[in-house]
Amino acid sequence: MKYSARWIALSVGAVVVGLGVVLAMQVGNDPRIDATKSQLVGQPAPELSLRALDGTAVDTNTLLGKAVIVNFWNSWCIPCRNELPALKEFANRYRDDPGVALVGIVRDDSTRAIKAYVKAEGIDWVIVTDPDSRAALDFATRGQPETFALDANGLITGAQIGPTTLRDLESLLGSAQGR
Amino acid sequence: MSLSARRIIPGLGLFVLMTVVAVWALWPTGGKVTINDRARDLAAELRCPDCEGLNVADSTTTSARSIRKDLLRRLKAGEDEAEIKNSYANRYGESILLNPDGGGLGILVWGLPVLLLVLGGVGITIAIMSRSRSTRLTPTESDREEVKKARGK
Amino acid sequence: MKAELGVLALALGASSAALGIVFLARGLIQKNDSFLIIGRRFVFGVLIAAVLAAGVMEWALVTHDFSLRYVAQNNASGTPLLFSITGLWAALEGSILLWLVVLGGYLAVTAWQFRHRTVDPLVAWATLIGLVVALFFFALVLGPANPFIKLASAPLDGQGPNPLLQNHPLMAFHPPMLYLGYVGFTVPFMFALAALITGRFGEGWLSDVRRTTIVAWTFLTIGVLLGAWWSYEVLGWGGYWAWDPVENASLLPWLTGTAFIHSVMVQERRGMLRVWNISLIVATFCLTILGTFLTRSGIINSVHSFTESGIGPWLLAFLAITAVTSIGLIAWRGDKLRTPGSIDSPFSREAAFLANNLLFAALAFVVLLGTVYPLLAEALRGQQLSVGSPYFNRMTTPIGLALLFLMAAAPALPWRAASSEVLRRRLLIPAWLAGLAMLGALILGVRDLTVLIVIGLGVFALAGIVRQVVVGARAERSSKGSLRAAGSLFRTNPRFYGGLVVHTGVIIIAMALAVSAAYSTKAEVRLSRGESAVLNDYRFTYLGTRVDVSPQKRVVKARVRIMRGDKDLGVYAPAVNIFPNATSAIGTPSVRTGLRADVYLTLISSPANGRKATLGIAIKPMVLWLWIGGGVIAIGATLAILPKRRRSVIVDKDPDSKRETISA
Repeated sequence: MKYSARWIALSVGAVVVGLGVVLAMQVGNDPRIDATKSQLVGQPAPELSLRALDGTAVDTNTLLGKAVIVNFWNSWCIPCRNELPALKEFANRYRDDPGVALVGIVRDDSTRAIKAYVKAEGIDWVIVTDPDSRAALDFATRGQPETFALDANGLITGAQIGPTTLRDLESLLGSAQGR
Repeated sequence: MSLSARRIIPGLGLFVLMTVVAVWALWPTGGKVTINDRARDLAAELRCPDCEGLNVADSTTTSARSIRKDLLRRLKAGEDEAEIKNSYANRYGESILLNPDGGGLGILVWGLPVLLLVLGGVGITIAIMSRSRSTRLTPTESDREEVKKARGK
Repeated sequence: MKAELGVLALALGASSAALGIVFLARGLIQKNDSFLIIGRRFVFGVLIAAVLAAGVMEWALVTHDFSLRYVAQNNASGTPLLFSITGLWAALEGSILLWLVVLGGYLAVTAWQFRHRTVDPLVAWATLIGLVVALFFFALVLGPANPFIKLASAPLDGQGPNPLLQNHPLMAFHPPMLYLGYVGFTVPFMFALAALITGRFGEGWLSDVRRTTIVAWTFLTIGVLLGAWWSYEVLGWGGYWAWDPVENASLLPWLTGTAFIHSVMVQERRGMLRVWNISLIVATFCLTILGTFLTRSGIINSVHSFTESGIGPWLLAFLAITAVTSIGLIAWRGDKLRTPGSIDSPFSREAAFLANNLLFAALAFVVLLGTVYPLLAEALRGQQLSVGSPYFNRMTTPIGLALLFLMAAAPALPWRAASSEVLRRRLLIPAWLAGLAMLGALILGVRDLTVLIVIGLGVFALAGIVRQVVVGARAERSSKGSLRAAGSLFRTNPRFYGGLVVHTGVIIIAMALAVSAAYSTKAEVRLSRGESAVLNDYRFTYLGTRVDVSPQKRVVKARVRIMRGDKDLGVYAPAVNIFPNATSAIGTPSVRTGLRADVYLTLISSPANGRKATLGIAIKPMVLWLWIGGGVIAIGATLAILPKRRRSVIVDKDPDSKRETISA
């Protein structure tokens, strides 16, 4: 009891030093960069059952056997507009490759606005709508644009949050093709 | 009215009053918890994925709104809260849960404050009890002598 | 030119602080009074230098001098004057300048307050420690957070302040208030350390810095509440407290500071708890630094972390040095500080203060643990976790209720010990009133348990306060009329009665918190022009949209008429602001403030091509009372620091104690 104050102070000091070490470990470690890692990489892609703008069904089965790039986007998001040229270029390169598919999933937008935008921009890859954001939530998207790569077996092999460049898209495709 | 009755009645009345209040307040209302209530409570436990520091219930971002819809749909489909939270944690990562679960390291965050509060409370009580006992001096023989002498004068 | 002038001022300040430290240290070591007298004067040099540096920065901001990087990043040629001025604290580098001005001010006031005791080693040590703190902050602005860095070529226009910060005039007051609070705790801290170093831990230093402590506490309280208000009025999510790490960081020193203000009375009165009080003051100071670190280092996700920079390691190092030094000093001196007194009864004022301190410490611990737990989990397990409002609400509500109970009971307890007779006399009527109030609330249909308990405890505490004032006034009345008697109470014992006013404010806030949390309703409606929606007894009619375009922003306003019954409450316009320098739109809620309830409108999506608009509507009862309670606290705290009227006899702090104290 006699030296209790000293011992309490020293043990509090030890705890504080421990806390300081923990904090020091975290300095320079931006939480937001960590938050942008998708948990889903390496897991089977969620079940998809969606309809394209022209009414054709797009589901998991139709995509099996191909390397698939899934791009979540919408017409009002500025970064999505910024990545559009990269997507166009990518679509041009692989238009005739039956082993590669590019699917745009619309996240939070009206069908009317999307149809107008697709027409105006001359988007020619498959665009599907996502009623109630089911697919967006299944893919654990945090916003848009977000891009995922699926291999021929339907496994998610890569993911990127935020706009992609042509190089990003190529490397995502590479991961899906096992390159 | 006797003196003791005057002393007892207000206290007794207070006891009765508090009992009435407690029973009434704790009486089950029978009002059923609706699925909307459950969805709202669940939304408050999920972190909004595209904003910082807000939960899904409070946020107005598009993904928060679609998660709210999804929660309602899943509850209606018969999934329970734990399942839904699990499936969100599996896809979005543990960090979407705002309420750290009590297992593993989580025991620290829930248990430590309680432990400290209990230890502190016990410590203070012991300190007061032991000191109040020790400060109550018992007169020794010589003290009594002194008093006697003083009175005798 | 301004850059050179600013750096010059900072260098002047840093060298003032350094010279002051050297002179004071020399004077203390060699016991040379003339060195102490000279050393003290450098405090004023620190203040002047800080004011100069901040003045230069304000000059640059107001004249939109974009050759300075700070100005270019936080100001634009179209920024209005008010937001140009507030630009000083819109980002990290500038806010350290403000910090320095405030610190210089506190140091100078303290130096002036102790002008007759310059050669007292306690005062000299305290001044020295204050100057060390100032030197650290000067080093920050001269090194990693220099606000006076010049751009190679000045841009034609700046980026403008962060949109969230140029949205509301409250932004002008919130950070300065917070800093006046944060920084103010430096004064008791430096005296606490000085007491440890000199070994003079009698009660003297405490009463010396009591007033400054209460001033700092008051500013911090106002700062925290203004932060909540800003969150409510600007961020647009409908709440005022999200348990965000940065909000928690401002709450933490408030909790330990509040504990200190209470436990210090035990020390003044009974000479006990010396180690504990010094620990609390050290903790409060360390928590202000920790808060700054968390806010500014960018290691935590938060809506409020506006800037990130390289000062994280500096602040952490400073925090570590401060904590280790203080704890080392306490460990070294701790056993000599052991208290002569003891607590006689669990039913005494001092026992209640002890319980109060335990609860405040627990509260601070919960908030701290919840805030740093994600970092702990990441470091120990590599796990990404969040701790959010469900955790904090569940943990803090019971502690808060227990504190409310203590607040009601403690002022009625006499010092040393109370007999059951005293407790009966003082608490019976308040308890009856509390029971009746709860019964009334139940009859009116209140079913929420927390709200009921808060109502009961609130009335209990309020009745106790009224009783105290009545008893006190009756004791005063012999010479005057009853109203004047009540008034003069505040002059004979400002601290006790001012404290009761503060408590009244806290009761108001507690009730507002409980009611607004339990009885808010919210809805999301899609309306076309002219269409109406009904929520509770309010009717909302969407009148149309107006777009205002100005150089700084494009504002889309949806006009909504609110009616309650047949009564027209006016047209409100929630808006979405689109700033050229921001990628996302920022919503501005429109709030119809009322004594009973606020109506909180947000524009969720603006109507494209004249179609439907999506509005968020929330009805939040009693929110206004949060701010009213804050005002009451500010008034009470001001009363508490008023100078005491001098009397020839010692005034008893507790009006009851003369007649009712029973010693064990």
